[in-house]
Amino acid sequence: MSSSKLLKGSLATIVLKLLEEHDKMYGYEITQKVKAITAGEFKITEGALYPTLHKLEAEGLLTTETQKVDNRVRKYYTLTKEGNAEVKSKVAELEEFLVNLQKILNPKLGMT
Amino acid sequence: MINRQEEHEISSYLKELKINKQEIFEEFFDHIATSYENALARNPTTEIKSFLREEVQSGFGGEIEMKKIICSRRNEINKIYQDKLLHQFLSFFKGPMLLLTSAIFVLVYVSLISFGRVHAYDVALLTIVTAMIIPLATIMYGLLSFKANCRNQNKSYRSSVKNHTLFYQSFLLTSFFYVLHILNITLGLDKVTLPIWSIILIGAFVTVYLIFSFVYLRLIKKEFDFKLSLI
Repeated sequence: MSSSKLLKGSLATIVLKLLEEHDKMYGYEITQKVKAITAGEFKITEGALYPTLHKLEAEGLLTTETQKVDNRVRKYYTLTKEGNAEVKSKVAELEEFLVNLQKILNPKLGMT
Repeated sequence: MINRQEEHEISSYLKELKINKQEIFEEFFDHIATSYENALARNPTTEIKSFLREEVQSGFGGEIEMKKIICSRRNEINKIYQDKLLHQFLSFFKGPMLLLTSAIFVLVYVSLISFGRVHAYDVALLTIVTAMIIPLATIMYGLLSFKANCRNQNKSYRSSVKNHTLFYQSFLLTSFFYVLHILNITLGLDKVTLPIWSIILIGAFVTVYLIFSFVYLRLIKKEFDFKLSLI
């Protein structure tokens, strides 16, 4: 399934949601988590992930900390207070969007 | 854990793609190394060169995509520092800090007047140049010190996005003033006896620059990396 274009618009929400569930995560871990949850259907490319992470950090929704792991520097992302508050509204927004999309794609379902 | 040769291959790959800033380099290096370790766990015969070519290249999207990531990172950091600068700068015009700002303005104004109205422009110029040179010189020293530190520790990068952004901002500020000065020379404003109202205006301008320089120096002290450390 070629979902990268569809995924791009909701990537920030996905990242925020994952970080809400897991205290802290690093870039590679996020890509693998998404892959595992969706059984390989969603593949987040690094070229899309890192600009999103950096943008969320600049907006103050994420904070970072670094640790030395296997003699290399690993950067972990964590939600800030603002990020925690933002997750709920972002997820609700995406859910509402999906419901409306469903109404368009499958009008019979929307009627029930 | 990957071996030295594989580490070297990843470093060379990132270097080829012009990833030469600490934050991005370290983050991507860890990403590639971890994904390679996982690939090795699944298939121990995986070769680093083919892994970089087939897996990493498609994920990161090659040189153009990498450049986009660096560019977006630089813009984000630029935004963070601009916000910090503006927030700290504006704090000088609120509450009790306003008294300090007024005191600086009075001091500047008295200095300009005491040197005589003919020399007011030169005194203002000297003050602003000094206020700008201190942060710029500090940053230049910091960049060289950071570079030497990276070289001593055999790192594949020589700078960081953070340091580079602070240098860029300082350079822009200096350039803006230089253009303003050239404009004044062209208009002949540096040679005339200035009226009182324009000395008040110049005094306000110098005060703004002095405060900005102070705020900027504080930001450098807090954020600039003079030596290599964990990012």
